This record gives sequence, structure tokens and C-alpha cells, in this order.
Amino acid sequence: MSGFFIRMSAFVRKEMMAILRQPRLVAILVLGPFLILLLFGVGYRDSPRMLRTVLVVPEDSRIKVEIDDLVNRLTGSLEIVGMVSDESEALALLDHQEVDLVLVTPADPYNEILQSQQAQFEVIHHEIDPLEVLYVNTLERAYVQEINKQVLIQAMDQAQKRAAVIEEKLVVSQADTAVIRADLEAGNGADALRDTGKLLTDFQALNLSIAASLSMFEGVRSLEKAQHESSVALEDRLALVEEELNALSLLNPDGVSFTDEIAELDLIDEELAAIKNFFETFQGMNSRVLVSPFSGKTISFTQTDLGPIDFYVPGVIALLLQHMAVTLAALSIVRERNGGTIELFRAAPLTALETVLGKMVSFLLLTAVLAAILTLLIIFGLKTPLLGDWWWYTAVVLALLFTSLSLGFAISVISQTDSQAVQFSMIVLLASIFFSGFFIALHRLLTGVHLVSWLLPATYGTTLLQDVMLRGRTINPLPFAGLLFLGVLFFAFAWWQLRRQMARE
Amino acid sequence: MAITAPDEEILVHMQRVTKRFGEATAVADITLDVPKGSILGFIGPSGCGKTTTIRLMVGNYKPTEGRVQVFGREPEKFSRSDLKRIGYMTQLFVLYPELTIWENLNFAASIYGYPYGRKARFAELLDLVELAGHEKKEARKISGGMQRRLSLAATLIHNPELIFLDEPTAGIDPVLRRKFWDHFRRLRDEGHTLFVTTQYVGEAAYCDYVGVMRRGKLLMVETPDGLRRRALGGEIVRIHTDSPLSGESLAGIRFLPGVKEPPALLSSQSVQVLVEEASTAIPQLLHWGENNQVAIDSINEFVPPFDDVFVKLMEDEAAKEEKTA
Repeated sequence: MSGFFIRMSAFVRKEMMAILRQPRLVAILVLGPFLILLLFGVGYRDSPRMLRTVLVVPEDSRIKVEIDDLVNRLTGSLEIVGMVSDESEALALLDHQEVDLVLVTPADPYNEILQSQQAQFEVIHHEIDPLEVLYVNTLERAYVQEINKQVLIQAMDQAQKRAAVIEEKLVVSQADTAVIRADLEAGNGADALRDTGKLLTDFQALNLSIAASLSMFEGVRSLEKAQHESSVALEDRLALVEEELNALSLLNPDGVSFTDEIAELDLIDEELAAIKNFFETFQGMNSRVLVSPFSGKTISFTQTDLGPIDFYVPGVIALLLQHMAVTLAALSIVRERNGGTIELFRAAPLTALETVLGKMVSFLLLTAVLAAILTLLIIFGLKTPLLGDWWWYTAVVLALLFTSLSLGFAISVISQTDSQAVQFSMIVLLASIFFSGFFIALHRLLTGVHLVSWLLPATYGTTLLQDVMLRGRTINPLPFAGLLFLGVLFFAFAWWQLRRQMARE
Repeated sequence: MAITAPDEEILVHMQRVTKRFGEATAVADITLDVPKGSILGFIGPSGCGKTTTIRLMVGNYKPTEGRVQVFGREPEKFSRSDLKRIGYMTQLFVLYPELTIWENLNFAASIYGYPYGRKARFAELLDLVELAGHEKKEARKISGGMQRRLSLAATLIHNPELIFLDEPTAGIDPVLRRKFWDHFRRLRDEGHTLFVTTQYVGEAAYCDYVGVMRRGKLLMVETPDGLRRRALGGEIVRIHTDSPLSGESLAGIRFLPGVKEPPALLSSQSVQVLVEEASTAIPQLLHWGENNQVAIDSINEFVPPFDDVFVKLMEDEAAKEEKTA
């Protein structure tokens, strides 16, 4: 057994010395990845892109005035650089990349709306990057939504103004009821009948005013109803008042007691007060809230604000560690073979397992130290959060390094030359960039392509590191087991192939 | 000459071994025994199959035909302890250029499972190969000759019983080459067995047996003296007289017993005679001189350098091949 360790240690010491004797290589391995991340962190612009926009307002546009108003309100991500009447002129500007967007306004939106058609704002762009196209689309939806909201706010403002008039009419009606009550209490049936006629007339005027904007008011009422099931619709209240008024108008002017009529009047007063109360509330409400009563708020479960760089860090760590490990291991066995040492190994009491295990231990130690330095630089230098447990993080990194090194050894035993090994490593890197979920989420790939993804250690590494670093979770056992299984598989393949190569020719 | 030794004294036995790579035959029909405690040198032009023969012996190659046995078993059945008894120095430097001399020795010792506490052994070997004081130098920064010496030290590190050296003296200066051979002979005297290939034909003189290869074939295995005799067809005696030799005298020498061919005149007073055996021919020649009033100033056996012997062997073989063709 001691012989086994002595032979294995030959490679542990040899590989470590060979790498440590190249300080430039060590510096590149440690600082290179960190500097890439740092540059990315510093260079990444988190602010929204300002799009230089030219407006197209046709000569015969019927909403020129409104457009001017719109231009003043279209702030944020649009920088209105001009207004033209000819669309082709605007498109020429876009073609020459003097502007980023052309916003074509509808010429006669009223007419289109009257014909039950939506009036369309056309947003023309010249983007080719799908993400930038998505940004423009999102911007277009947000602005059109805002324009629609502005229209509704205007309508709501009008309704609130009308509500003030209605409230005045309600006060008049309430004054009428007070007069009728006095007549009835004085036993003056004839005066009460006359004043009831006036109340009826005033109420009809009130009813007409409310009916004109009933849908707008009912929208608000429905919100109230959502909160209080007992809430009565405005329309029902008005009907009830009308019904009681009709009954009151049938009173006997020669009667002695008006107890029933006073009770009816109480009911009318009550309803009018409720209606008045509603309109008072309605007038005091913010029209912006009324047209868009609901808003959204996104809260991270981890209670941590993650920046865009934070999101990429686990993927970058996984990718860089994989590439470093794969390249180191991919070159190691092919160099032994091409350098001729395999010829010595064949004639020595050395097995393929001792060779590949010795190399694995040495590279694992080396890359683990490099990973630790890189991690400390990232966590403390770039202030990237590590919400999970450090032990879980360590376990994921070690598993990722083991599997990546095994993949490197597998590449090494099938490569004929150093150049081939480097090429294979680059292909693995390229595949990892596209298929590991580093910048394209896995769910965006076809299921069949996932097979490629799950053959790459970086896929498991990215998923597991994101969980541990950004979600603060423990290790997800399934991908962790998958990563180790893949590592064992690659290691076994490398061992088997090396055994064949160390056997007699 | 067939090497004769009891079976238990034969460490390497090759029986009609042929090795082909595709259509090309690297080694053809070799039969050879390497006796224990000897130095067997292999000489032959570059590409004649010397390295392939070594690789067949150490187990790197499997013979296409025939049988190789080392320590009485085929190399593919070598146990770990069998492999520990073997030392193999490859023709090219295959150690690690980025490691120091000391670290390379450490690596070589480790792959043979040599236990720690190696300092004394390293010092001894570094003295032998004259690398003492250079331990901390990286292998890539030392000369080709020093790399060969490092390879040799690495081969001997575990004190192997059977040592295969593929051109160990290539690129080494003559003084150190001599020192190497002195050490090889010392190892031989201690009971080690060495199989050495070389392109320095003169080194054949240091071997107990010499195998001559040409185009994958083993032409002969002889002692160094036997090799000369085989090459020249006998031994050479050179005679110098105080007066010019006449044609009559030369004819007289030709018909003396043991003289194999007409003497070759080197100058008017010097002649070279090919004889069966110099030790018996010299007294006869002296006697002939006395009887025929030829005053011989000096007479001695001439030992031609191995380079000449080798060239002669190669020329003879080429002529034979031409004749056969």
C-alpha cells in the first residue's frame, strides 16, 4: 500500500512543481478570471438605454396638439430628437443610424376609435440583437399603456368635475327633503305634495347627471363591493330613491297623520346621504389611482437585491473553473505520451490508476487553491453575495473541479497532440457558453439539446452555485449527484483508455 | 557464436522474434540470449532495429512472431517485482524539463516505489554521472549531455538487476563515456546484467558480447575478439624488415602454415599478413625470417579499430545481399 502512495505521490509532487515553477501561468490562472469578472463588473451598464426617437406626425393629423403634449410627457428611455411629417424622412434617419426609433403617430385616432378600431402607434427600429428588440418591444408596450392611461385619467378628471355638479344637485335634493319633512311634521299635506313635486324634478336632473357617467362611477363602486359584499350599487340606490319619491307623491294632502310618508322620507334621506357620501369620496380620489387601481411590487424571497453582475457570477465561476481544470488535465496525459514518458511508465511498476489518480490529486489540490483565491477575490473584491453556507459552496466547487478534471483526462487520452487537446478544451468551453445556462436559460433550449447541457460540468456547477450563492439554499442533491456521477464516468473512461495505452503495443 | 550458458543464467531469451509495424518489418527472426552478469552490446546503423529489440525486451512491444522471455516469463506477465528488477533508459530524454535534476530523480525513484530517505543514493548517482552541484538546475536549462547523464542516473536509481540502456553515451564526451563504461563494467562485476545499444562502434570493446544488426536482422553475436576475427577472417600480423622485401620472400610467407591469404605490402619494408591465429603465427614467421636471411625489425599482432571492423562487416553483408539478389 505504501508503494501505491509513493508511486502516486510522484505525480502529485511533479505536477505541482511543474505548475508552481511557472509563476506567470499561476498568475494567469488566478488573476485572469478575476480580472475578467472585474472588467465585466465595472464595464456593465445597468442604466436603461436612451433611444433617440423621431416622431412622425402626418400633416393632416387631428391630434397635433395632443402630440405636443405627449412629447412633453414621453420622458424616461425615449429622447425625442425631432418631429417630421414624412415617414420616409424619418426612416432615412433610422437607416443612417442617426436615430434609434421612429414613432409614427396615428393621423385620426378619434375616427378609428369610433369605428371600433384601436388607433395604432407604430414603433420602427433597426435592432438586430434579440435582447435589444425585446427592450424596444417592452418600451413600446409601456408607452402605449401610458398613453392609454393618460386618456383614462383625463376621462376620470372630467368625471370628478361632473361629480362636483352632482354633489351640488344632491345638496339641493337634500334641502328639498328637509322642506318636505317640515311640511309633513306641520301637518301641511298640500305644501308637502307641492314640494315633493320639486324634489322629483331636482332628483330627475340628478339622476340624469349620474346616469351620464354611471359606468365610470360603478367601476369605483365595484372596487368597494369587492371589499364589502353588502355594498349596494349606485344604480340600485337611485332606483330606490325614485321609487320612494313616486310613493311620496301619492300622499293625501288632506291627511291628518303623515307617519308613513315621514318614514319614506327618512329612507330617501338615508339614500341621498349615502350617494352624497360616495361622490364626496369619489371627488377626493386620485384619478391616476382610479384608472389603474392596482400596482405591483417585486420582492426577492432572499430579501437581497441582486445586481445583474451578481446573477452572472456563479455561471462565470463555474465556467472559469471548468475551463481551467479541463485545460490543465487535457494537456497532462497527452504530453506524457508525446514526450515519451509513457514508454518509461510501461517498463516501470506503475499502473494507469496510480498515474491518473496521482494527477487527479495534484490538479485537484492546485485548482482548489486557485478556486479559493478566486472566490475570495470575487466575494470580497466584487461584493458578490454568498447567501448559502460556505461548506456547501466548497462541496460544489470541489465536485465541479473533480468532474472537470476527469473530463480533461478523458480529452487527454483521446487526443493525439497538444493542439488537439487544446482544441477539444475550447470546444467544451464554447459548448458550455451556449448550453450550460450561462447566458441562455436551459428552459429556452429544446429538450434534446439538454443532453448536451447535462454532459457539461459547468451546467451542474452553474445551477448548484446559483442555488447556494444567490438563493441561499443547501445543495440540490439531484444535480450534485449527477455532477459526481459524470465525474466518475469520465474518470473511469480516462483510466480505461490509459490502461490500454500503457499496455504493450 | 551462440552464447552458451545454463538456462538459469539466461535472463533474456529471444526465440525467432519478428516485429512488424504494418507492412514494415522492424526486427526479423532474432534469436538471442543475454546471460546473467554480462554486458551485451548491440551495434548497428541507425534504424537497424536496436531500439525495437530493446522495446521488445522491456515489454513495450509485443512480438509479431516468436517469443521473448525475461526472467523466464513473457513481459506481458511481468509482476510488479519483475518490473522493479528492470531499469530502462530510453534513447531520447523523456524526463521533465521543467523539473530540477533533483526533482526528476525523485520522480524516477517514486515511480519505482523507492522508499524515502533517498539522499545518499541520489548523491552517489549524481557523483557517478558528474552532476553533483547541479541538483537545483532545471532539466531544460542543462546541456544534452547532462540530460543523458540525468537519464542514466534515473535508470539506475532503484539499483536494477537487468539494465537496458538505449544509446546511453550519445552526446557524451569521450572522457565521461569512458567513465560510464567503467561503471557499467563495475555493475557487471557486481552481478548486474546490461544490454546496451550504441552507435559508437568502438564501445563494442567494452562489452562481453557484441550483437551486430543490419536492416532488422541480427547478423552475429560474438565476443569483441571473435567479432574482429569474423570480420577479417582471422588475425593480422604486421612485419617490418631492415631491408626491402623481395617477391620471393612474399611468396614464401604466403605458403607458411596458418597464413590465410597473400600478404599485403604496406611499404617496401612492411607487410601485413592475415593468419589463423597471431599467437601461433608469430613464432613461425620469426623462424621463417631466420631461415631465409630476412632481418625482421619488428613483428606484432595488429588490432584494427572496431570502426574498421564494423565497416568491413557491413560491406561484406551488403556484398552478400547483392550476390543473393
